Amino acid sequence: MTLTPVLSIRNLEKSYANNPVLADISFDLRPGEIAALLGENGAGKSTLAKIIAGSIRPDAGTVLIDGHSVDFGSPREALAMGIAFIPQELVYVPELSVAENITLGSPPARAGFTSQRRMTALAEQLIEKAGFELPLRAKMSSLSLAQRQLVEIAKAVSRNARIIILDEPTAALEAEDSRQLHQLVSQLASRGVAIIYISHRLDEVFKTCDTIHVLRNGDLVRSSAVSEVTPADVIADMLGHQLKTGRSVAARSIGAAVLRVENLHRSTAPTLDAVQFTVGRGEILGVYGLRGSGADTVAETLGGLHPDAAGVISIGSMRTTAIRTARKSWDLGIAYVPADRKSQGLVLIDTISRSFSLPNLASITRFGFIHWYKERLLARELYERVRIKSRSIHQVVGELSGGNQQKVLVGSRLLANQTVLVLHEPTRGVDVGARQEIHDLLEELADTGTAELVVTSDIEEAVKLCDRLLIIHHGRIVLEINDPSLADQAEAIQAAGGIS
Amino acid sequence: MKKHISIGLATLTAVAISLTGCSNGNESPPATGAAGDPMTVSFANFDESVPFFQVIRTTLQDQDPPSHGINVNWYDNKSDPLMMLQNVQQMVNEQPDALVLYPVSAATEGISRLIEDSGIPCVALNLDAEACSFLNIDNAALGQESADIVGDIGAERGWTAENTTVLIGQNAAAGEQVNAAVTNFYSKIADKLGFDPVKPEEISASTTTIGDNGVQFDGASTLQPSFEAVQGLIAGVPADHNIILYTVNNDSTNGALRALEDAGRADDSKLLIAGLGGDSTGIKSLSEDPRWVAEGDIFVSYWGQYAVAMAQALADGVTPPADVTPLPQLVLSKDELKAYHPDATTAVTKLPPLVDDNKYLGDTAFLRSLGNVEGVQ
Amino acid sequence: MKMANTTANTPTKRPRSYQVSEQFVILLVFLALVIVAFALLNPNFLKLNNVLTILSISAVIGLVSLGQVLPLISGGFDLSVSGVVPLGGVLFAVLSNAGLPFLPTLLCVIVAGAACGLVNGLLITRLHINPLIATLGTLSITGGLALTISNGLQIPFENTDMGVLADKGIFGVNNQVWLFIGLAIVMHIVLRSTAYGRRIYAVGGNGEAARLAGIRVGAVTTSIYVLCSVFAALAGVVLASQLLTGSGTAGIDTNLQSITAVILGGAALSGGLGGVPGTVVGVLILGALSNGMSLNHVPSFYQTIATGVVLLLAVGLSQRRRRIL
Repeated sequence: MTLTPVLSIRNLEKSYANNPVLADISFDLRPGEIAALLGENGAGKSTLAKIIAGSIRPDAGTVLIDGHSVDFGSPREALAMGIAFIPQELVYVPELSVAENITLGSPPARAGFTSQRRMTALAEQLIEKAGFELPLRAKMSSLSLAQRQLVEIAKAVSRNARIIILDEPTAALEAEDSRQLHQLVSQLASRGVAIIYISHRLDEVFKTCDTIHVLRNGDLVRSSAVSEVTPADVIADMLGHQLKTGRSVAARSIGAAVLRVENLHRSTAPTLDAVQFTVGRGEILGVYGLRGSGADTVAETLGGLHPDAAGVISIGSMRTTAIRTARKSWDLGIAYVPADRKSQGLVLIDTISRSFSLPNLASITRFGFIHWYKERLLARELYERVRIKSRSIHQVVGELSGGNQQKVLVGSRLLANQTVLVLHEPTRGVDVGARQEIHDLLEELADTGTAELVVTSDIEEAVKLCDRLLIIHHGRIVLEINDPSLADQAEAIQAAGGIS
Repeated sequence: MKKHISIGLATLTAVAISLTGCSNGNESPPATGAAGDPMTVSFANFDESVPFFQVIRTTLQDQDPPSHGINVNWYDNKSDPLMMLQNVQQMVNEQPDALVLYPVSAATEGISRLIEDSGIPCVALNLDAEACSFLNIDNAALGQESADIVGDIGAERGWTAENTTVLIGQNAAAGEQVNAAVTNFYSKIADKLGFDPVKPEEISASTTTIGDNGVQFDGASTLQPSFEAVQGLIAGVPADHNIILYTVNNDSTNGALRALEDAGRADDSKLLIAGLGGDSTGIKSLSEDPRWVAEGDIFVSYWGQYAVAMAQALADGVTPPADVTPLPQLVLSKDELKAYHPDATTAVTKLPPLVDDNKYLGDTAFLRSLGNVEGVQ
Repeated sequence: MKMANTTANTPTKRPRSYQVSEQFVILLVFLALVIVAFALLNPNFLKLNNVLTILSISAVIGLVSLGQVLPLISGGFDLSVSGVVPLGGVLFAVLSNAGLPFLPTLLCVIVAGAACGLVNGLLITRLHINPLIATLGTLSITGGLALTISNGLQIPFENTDMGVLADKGIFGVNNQVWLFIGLAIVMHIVLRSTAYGRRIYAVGGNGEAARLAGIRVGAVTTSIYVLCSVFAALAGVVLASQLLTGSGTAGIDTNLQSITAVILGGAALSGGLGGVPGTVVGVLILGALSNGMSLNHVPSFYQTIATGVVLLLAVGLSQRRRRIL
């Protein structure tokens, strides 16, 4: 039984200043269908989503709702037709209550007056319709990220949305919250709401969605049912070529311990309680934990961000009880890649070339003066080594995509050839292709003997990349997995959640 | 890029046009440098944003100097020594017949050098500069003449050392020269009313009480500080004493007066005031306030014409007879007021006659042409 | 998708960083227009003696601005220069009048300037007081010191030879202009070609990133304020030499003027941008405007308006550039 598609796109085209962003896109969306929209950053996903949601107009092509051609002049018009867009960056009023936020835009009013009671009542109705629970009177700012997303969805449902577009809904959520969200999405679909699900998380997509659409460079290269493709196929579509899956078959030989951390403790939250581990030459050690578990703290301490965390940290012959400054961290032989590349890692107005040399100016300086030729040489080497894609090596870092920015950041830490590389969320907000390239790079580095510590909140990354994985919970290491594989994910997640 | 250039161009054109439109009244044909009509005088005023100094320029411009044979080019020192330096350099480059400078401070060494090297005759107005001839008021005389008028009235009323206190208000930061007015006032009035004799030099910046009859406060030449200063000391003045008040300017005097009124010590019969400045408040008070019996009129508005006349004299080769050429000043009593300020504003019918040391100004074509000085044709 | 990236492909186009070239050209055009406009209004404007006047008067602001470039690149600014300039002048007058020879006197003044800058630097880096408040405080202190030492009086040089920094020098150009040119070249080289200069730009561009890259942000910041005050003290000596007097009240608006010049020259209040060439042109624009308007006897308040317009234009241009991020 084929229902009339609730949404049809025919030959959609969009260009920005002679740059084609979308070319000849056509597909259908049926009521109750959950369609995934995949593609690397810059492939055109957000542009397509925005056209459907009414904030951008296409240059050519048609959008049909229930078989009727529509031309949205504004998001309002799209909303009126039942299309809701839940962006990655949530927009809400923190100080107002949940109920008020839900009814925002169309508060229940009589003769222009409204009341808390009436709003709460209306909000209750709406979330019942949506099928979940929320603390209606609480302030938005007191809710967790996951709950705030639910509020967004409740808002959409309250407006009788028939098509909901979710942009990276689980990018910043914990595993448990993600699961809840997936359940909700399935529920909505079963009630006839069509969902467009934009995400990088292939495992989720394959678990939750019915259809997969892949965009590459503005072209729709695949529209298939989930059952007809494999993740490898999808990745190949996104990148245009096959990827090597998994790690190099040849096992790496791991040398003696290079970094030794003993009895690392911290009393201010998030706490650390007698954390102890070693990282050997050529070893990639992973640390995985939920937010607030102390995993982040471990990475940050090694980077010199927590002078109050103390223990015994030794690298080679050097040893210290606390790393009080970032400078000390470098002096010890640690190269730290911080988690937030925009605010902590990169000077966004700098060029790629200058960003590479910033942590190790000494290597390009002679008598205090910059040695231009050497800088160019080293920059070019790094540029190729980390496989950056840009217009020029002198391009401003702020203009690059997230993946390329991350590569610049990681690259900048390589120049000094430090003994230990500590990476904090090495592929956060990075598209699949760049992520794979960064993983390849990290493995190459380990092959040449660099000891690496990777702290990540992405369990898939943790198990695929690391030689050994530590699970941390409430500041203590609760589990150690040698040679982890995808099969160990469940156990890892449980341990991180406190279940043993 | 093109857009930026056109924005810049447009703005600049706008600015340029507004400038041409605004630089009126100062047509400055290149100075001939030779003596003889028309003459060019470059005049650098103290600070055009301060009314006290601005009036010097506006009054002179109203008198239309070109029609009396002199073109005046105006510069503004903006109270800044560096600006003054730039102005002097530009004035020297202009090669006028003479220049007038109202220095903004005593930092005039470097400027004097420039002026000397240029050989252009120069008038320094109110503040001295080494390379220039000095035109200034005589503060001591002002103080003394004010004391004469007040002293006479006081003596008539039977005010003596037993029943009188004199309040004088100085401004230490302004320097000895300016405060000479109040120190000389006290010295003279002490003499007239029979207090213990005091020489002006004996009253210094740190003096607060002078014998049994004198109190000096520092009002910083402005209203509020003077108010507060007098408020503080009024309790120490014997309740039955008459009060005589005199300060370095009328702002300060008014501040003191308000404090006296607040304290109930400002009765017509028990208070005599002498003002200094000849500004509109002073003239008004002299005209209407029974307690205000004298006003040291320094005719500030007309300083411009004297300065320019002196510049003309110097350009013609005249040597001033004294180190300091005096500006017109007169301490007006209530009777004399009408003769000079018939409508109780700062506008005068005639300026007072010239004295010995500035008589030579009466020989200049400019002053003669203006015809507003008594005794000058 | 461009995946392969061989050596032949490593792109090395003309640097787009800082977009100095574009803004710089606009500034030069602006300066040219100002000069042309005033020259048309009054032929005396371009006469040699007037051009020399512009240069010798601008040197004071120029020196202060060279120092001010550093805090602005680092994302702060230094208001206290308006107190250090008169303090420098007064100290120079007092010490040289006391009999100290020229070079030792100059050295003492420079050390005093460095001390003021050190105070600023420590307030900002150790006590974490923001630059606005910190330098506002030191402004009052240094300005007050200048007045106290001079007792509110002007202190003439007893030995006018001490004013050598402002004397006419080579080719008839005053010494302070040569001093400015020389220091401008040095500062430019330091900012563009030394590791220290890189660190300054990094600290301004993203202080946290600089810190995590191992840069001693506190030391760099403190050194910036020390240098800024040294330049201000030097400017104070030049000013006093021009007036042949140490004045506690001269140089009061140098802080805002220097900040204007540096912003005209491409700096942004948020840091990470700016440089010497633009600042020099900015100084010349301000100097030409002041001189030209004075020469054409433009009434004072129009001059103030014009300076305000120029500043807004400068800030507007610099904001437009930052739109890229």
